Amino acid sequence: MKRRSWMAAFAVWVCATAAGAQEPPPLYTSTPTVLLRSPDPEKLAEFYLALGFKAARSGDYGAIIYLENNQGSLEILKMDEGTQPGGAKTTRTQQGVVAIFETTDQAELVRRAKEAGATLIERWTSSERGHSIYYVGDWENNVFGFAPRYHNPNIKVP
Amino acid sequence: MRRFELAFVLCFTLFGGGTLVSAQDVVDATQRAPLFTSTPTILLRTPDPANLAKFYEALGMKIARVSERGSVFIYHEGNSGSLEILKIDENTQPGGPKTSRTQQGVVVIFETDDLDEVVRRAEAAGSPLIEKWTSSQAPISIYYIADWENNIFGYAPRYHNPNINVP
Repeated sequence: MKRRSWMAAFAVWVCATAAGAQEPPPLYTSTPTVLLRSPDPEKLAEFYLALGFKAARSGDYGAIIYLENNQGSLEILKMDEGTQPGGAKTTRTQQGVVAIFETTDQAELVRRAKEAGATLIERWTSSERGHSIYYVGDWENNVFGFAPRYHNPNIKVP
Repeated sequence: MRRFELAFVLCFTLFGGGTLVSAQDVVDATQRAPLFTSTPTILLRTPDPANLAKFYEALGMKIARVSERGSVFIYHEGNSGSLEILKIDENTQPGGPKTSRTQQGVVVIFETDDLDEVVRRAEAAGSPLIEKWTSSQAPISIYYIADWENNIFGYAPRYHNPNINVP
């Protein structure tokens, strides 16, 4: 009787250990913040303000920009002293990480990007859904995408 | 003259569309700033999407689908956003090794419900850079984690910025 209860306890311990070893994966719930590093964030922020972004705070450290209804942020900050932004790009597909913003007025955005001296403006059109995304390079060759609002019906956005 | 102007305004209003548009309105309309409403999609370019996707799968991200071209689509919890791992241009390469989180131009920050588990998984997956940053204003840390090709993302606890509305 005593031996049986010891065996049962051992079995429970084995099961609990096995379950504990396999932690459930973390959930990834949003991408609310995009950081952009620059040797001169105060200057680079002027490009994004020219596109129509609104700075919540700005100074010599750069600028903190909130998206409409505070649904996210773009923070333009100082880069490491010894580092530099990436070089010129001839296409939208050269940069490692590209964040895509949704906007209410793509035509106005493109007009403003041209006027502000964007280093790259490339249009990509989806063969499946027909919408276009404009990729815009800033003065330091950082590329962001700009899609029409609700461009992907599989993603829930505000 | 004044009577003529009034008659013109009346006729325009009644028969010319019903609304008077001033020159200032026209200027405002052409210069109205577009609204930026969200950042639902993050693209990550690599020479080998299938291989790099294994890193993010190891972190616990779930692959929703793989396209015919080999692009890997990952959706966040509740489909609130996506990470799409795509092919980089043939003649280009990912960036080189980085010694800190502040070297890269664009860094996107994910929110997660289990930061410790993300870090544990990143270490197990062989991340070349894991750097912790702690806010001086609030008791919040963000971990910056590089993948096998030195792309850095930030990982913050859910609802880490009370000024931003997130799902």
